[in-house]
Amino acid sequence: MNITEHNAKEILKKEGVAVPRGVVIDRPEQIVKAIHQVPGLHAVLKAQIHGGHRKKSGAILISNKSRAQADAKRLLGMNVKGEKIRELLVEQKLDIEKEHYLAITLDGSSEEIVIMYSPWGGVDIEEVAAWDPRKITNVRFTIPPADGKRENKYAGNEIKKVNLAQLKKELKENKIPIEISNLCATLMELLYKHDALLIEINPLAETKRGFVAADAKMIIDDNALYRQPALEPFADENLSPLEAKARKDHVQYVDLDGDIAVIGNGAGLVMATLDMIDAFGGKAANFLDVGGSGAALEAQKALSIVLSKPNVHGLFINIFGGITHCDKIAEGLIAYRHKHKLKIPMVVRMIGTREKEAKALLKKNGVQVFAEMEAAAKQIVTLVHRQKGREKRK
Amino acid sequence: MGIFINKKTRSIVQGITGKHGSFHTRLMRAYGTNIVAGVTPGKEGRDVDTVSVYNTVKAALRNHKAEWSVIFVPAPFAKSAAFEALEAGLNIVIITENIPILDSLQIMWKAKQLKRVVIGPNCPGITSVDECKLGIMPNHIFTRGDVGVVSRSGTLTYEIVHQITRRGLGQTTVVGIGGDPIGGVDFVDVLERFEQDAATKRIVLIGEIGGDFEVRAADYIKEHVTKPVVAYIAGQTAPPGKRMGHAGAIIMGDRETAKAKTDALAEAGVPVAKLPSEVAKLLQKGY
Repeated sequence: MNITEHNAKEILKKEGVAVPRGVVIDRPEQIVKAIHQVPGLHAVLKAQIHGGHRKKSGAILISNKSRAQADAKRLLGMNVKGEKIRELLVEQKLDIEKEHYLAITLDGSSEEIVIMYSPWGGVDIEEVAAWDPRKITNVRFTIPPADGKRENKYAGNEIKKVNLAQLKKELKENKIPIEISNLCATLMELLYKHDALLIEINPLAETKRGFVAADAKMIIDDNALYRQPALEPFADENLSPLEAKARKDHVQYVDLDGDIAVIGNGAGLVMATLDMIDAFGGKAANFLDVGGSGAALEAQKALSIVLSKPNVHGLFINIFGGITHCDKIAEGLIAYRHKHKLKIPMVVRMIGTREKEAKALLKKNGVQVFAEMEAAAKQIVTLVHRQKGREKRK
Repeated sequence: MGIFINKKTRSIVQGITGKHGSFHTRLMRAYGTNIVAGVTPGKEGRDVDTVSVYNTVKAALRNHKAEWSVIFVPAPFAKSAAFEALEAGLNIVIITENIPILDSLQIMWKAKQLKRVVIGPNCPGITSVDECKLGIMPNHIFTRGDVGVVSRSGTLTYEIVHQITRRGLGQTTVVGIGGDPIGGVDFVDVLERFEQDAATKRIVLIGEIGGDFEVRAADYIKEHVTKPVVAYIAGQTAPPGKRMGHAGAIIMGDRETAKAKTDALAEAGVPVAKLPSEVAKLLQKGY
């Protein structure tokens, strides 16, 4: 889950990290009051969207206070690379002497926690990294985090102490300034506390009064949200309405731009199904993984999600039963068909756990079941092409 | 003899009284796996498919000998279940999905300290064909043969294994390493074992978008693997930045695309199938 800038700053502020003074608004008229609350002749207007390069795409403006209302009016509602600007953070303009870069993240390939620091921060950090990687110091940790006072007896305060001591030592060896080193310790604690996968401060502004987090980005581990109730109000992803509904139903769903609705089990198999449809000349309308539980009710929910999309011309169900039982999916499909009429061609492929029961049930209801994925994928693409041809002739 | 496990392997099941735990205990036993005991806190004294249930791993091991544990425990409790097994000296297969990454990191750290093997999390487990199955792979898809299979996926592994079987070929060991960004044994660990395993004559590697695991596998193959390898990468048509189910299957950088992985593998001399159904065909052609 992405945490919006102003919420991330709120979290940082609670931990004692300096952030610019600012107010969030969602209507242009609120700007009048907002600019009074930030010091100086200028205000920075920052679109609260998740995409990067906001300055370059015009989603961050330094606005003369006399022009701020017009600027706010223009920004709110504007579309930036598919994201609609719904909120603006109105912030004081900092007197920045130098821009630094600081981030903490998990490196999946080395299974370490990595702190990245560069005294050359700002908008072009990627270019700095590509041009001269030595300008970024990476401090890596092989010792994983403690988990505070969570649900089990392995809450290792002991690990935490070792960790912090090691962190300070390594930062010192890497000649990272002491103020930055203190910030690193705070970020590491935050990473544990909130199950963050990334906390990035770019730029970390050096001012006469010390370091200030001029921007903040935070990504939280979706799998850990159950133990992060405090972050629940921050849940604000840029999801399509169907993606949001799927999330509520605990279904892994992604919108795609084709016209063949796909339901499968297991991310790898579903991705391979999309690849196969593509290879045979079709286009998938979505990615949907019914997941391991795959109960009949989940199958019905999955069907109502993929079939509610307009312009879907076919339905392809591809189940390889392992932990998922084929007969449960079949039951869901039959129940769905009892309630709704299916006007588009459908191809079902099922194999694996409780395949016999599923086939018997589907046969009784007049549904043919394919055993092989390739033949089934070819069949749905052919049927959809034929259906579209027929529609055109009408 | 399979890699990691064989017909002498003895295992316990943690979370044995749950829906998946009990169902798959039956199937593992039907495959011939020696499940010696089960663990579910508070359920001591019961049995599942004649397997005795204990409150703790320690209690189970007081009465039975085992080398492995298969973990079906729900995500919020999976870390403590894993710690319990590791500290009792067991290797573990973690079937559980949606484990927080920081928990996984700690499990891997603990395992490294105690020099134990972890397979998973979010994985289908491991099957040494006709010897032992730890996990949830369907029993009927395997035939004894000379192909070693290693995969990040679950159901896609069954798909490809099933097709290898259907074409009259067979497998030695099939390892599902799991789809999470943080996991136990990786492609390289498994490739190393297959390279040493006399029964394995060739290897199938099944990858997907996200992470750079396949690129590192390609580097390793170039230097250390003499046996033929055939690969498939899922997600060739996936749009970047979209999370395709697995926590791992999201493209963040160039190294994580299907193309980068395919190129790296091709450069290491590994033919990469365009479709999952082509893997078995490539093997049949003599790769």
